[in-house]
Amino acid sequence: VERDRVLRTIEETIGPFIGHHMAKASTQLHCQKLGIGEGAMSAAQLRAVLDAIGRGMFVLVGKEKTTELLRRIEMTLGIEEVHA
Amino acid sequence: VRVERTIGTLSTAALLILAATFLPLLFSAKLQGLSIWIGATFKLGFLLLAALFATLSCSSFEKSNPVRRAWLLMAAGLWMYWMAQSVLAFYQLALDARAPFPSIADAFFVPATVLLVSSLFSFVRVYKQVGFQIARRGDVSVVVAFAAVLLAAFLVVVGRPVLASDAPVTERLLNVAYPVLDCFLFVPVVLLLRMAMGMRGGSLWKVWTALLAGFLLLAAGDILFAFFTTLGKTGLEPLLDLAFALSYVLIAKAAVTQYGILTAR
Repeated sequence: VERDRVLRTIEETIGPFIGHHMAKASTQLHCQKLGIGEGAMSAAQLRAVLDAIGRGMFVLVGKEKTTELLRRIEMTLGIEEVHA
Repeated sequence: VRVERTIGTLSTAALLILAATFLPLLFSAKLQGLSIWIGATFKLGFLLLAALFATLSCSSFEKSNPVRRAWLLMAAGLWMYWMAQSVLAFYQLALDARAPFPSIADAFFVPATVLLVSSLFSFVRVYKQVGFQIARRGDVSVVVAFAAVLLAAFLVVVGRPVLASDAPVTERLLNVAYPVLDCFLFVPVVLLLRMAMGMRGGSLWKVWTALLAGFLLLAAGDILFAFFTTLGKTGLEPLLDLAFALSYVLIAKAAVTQYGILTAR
């Protein structure tokens, strides 16, 4: 999956909760920390990014809503469940 | 959305009524009786709402969720605040008298403040652990230094004369303890503000700006109360009453909004 598409999807999904600016900034930061560059992302990289996003959302909106948000991201990206 | 809209309207109405009640008292004491009733009712009502919804928010988080403890401490602190405020309201409304200082209310106010400070530090720790940008090392130093300066100014201007006065020991200690605790409260509030400001436009932004503004007003009210009392500026008390009442309204708004977010389908 293209990195930009992943970033856009995550921003659009969690932005209504934490604001679009923070959603974008935190996703970019996670990508940077995980060493994910431009171009396509592997399944393992996507899983790592979604896990990191999930950990942050877990303490803000709880497990149920976090699972729902991650599922929505996966559905938008048209992929199988990748997060732990 | 309905919960958010209802608490939004309710809190805006409360802010206007409270401002209209307390601000005229700065110029005339004629309406004091009515303002005591309105103030006590609003303070108790919104504190009850805050405590109740903080408890509900806490129970909505899973037992394994590290933020549950922070909400638990917050809820416990708010319930204690509500009990303390109930004692004050009993004196004001049932006995038609000024609450003595110290009173049983202080047996609740002191642990309540400790619980709220612990809760906010707990939020800072949890959010930092999961990677939120709470504050850089430099920011922490600036905030701690500011709190230390505030504390030092308080101890020099208020603390020394209060401790040297002839007042009973408990009264002297409490007059110093409250502002000192509020200086501790000030540190996590300012640290969390950075995270909250980054959430602009999101629904959680509403929770955190209301919550932190509420705690800032609470801390400012306590510190100014100590300054005004020591300097004999009793005419400014309505302003402090307004600050306390508004802080409860904002904290209630935050707790209700958080619960709305957690339970929205």
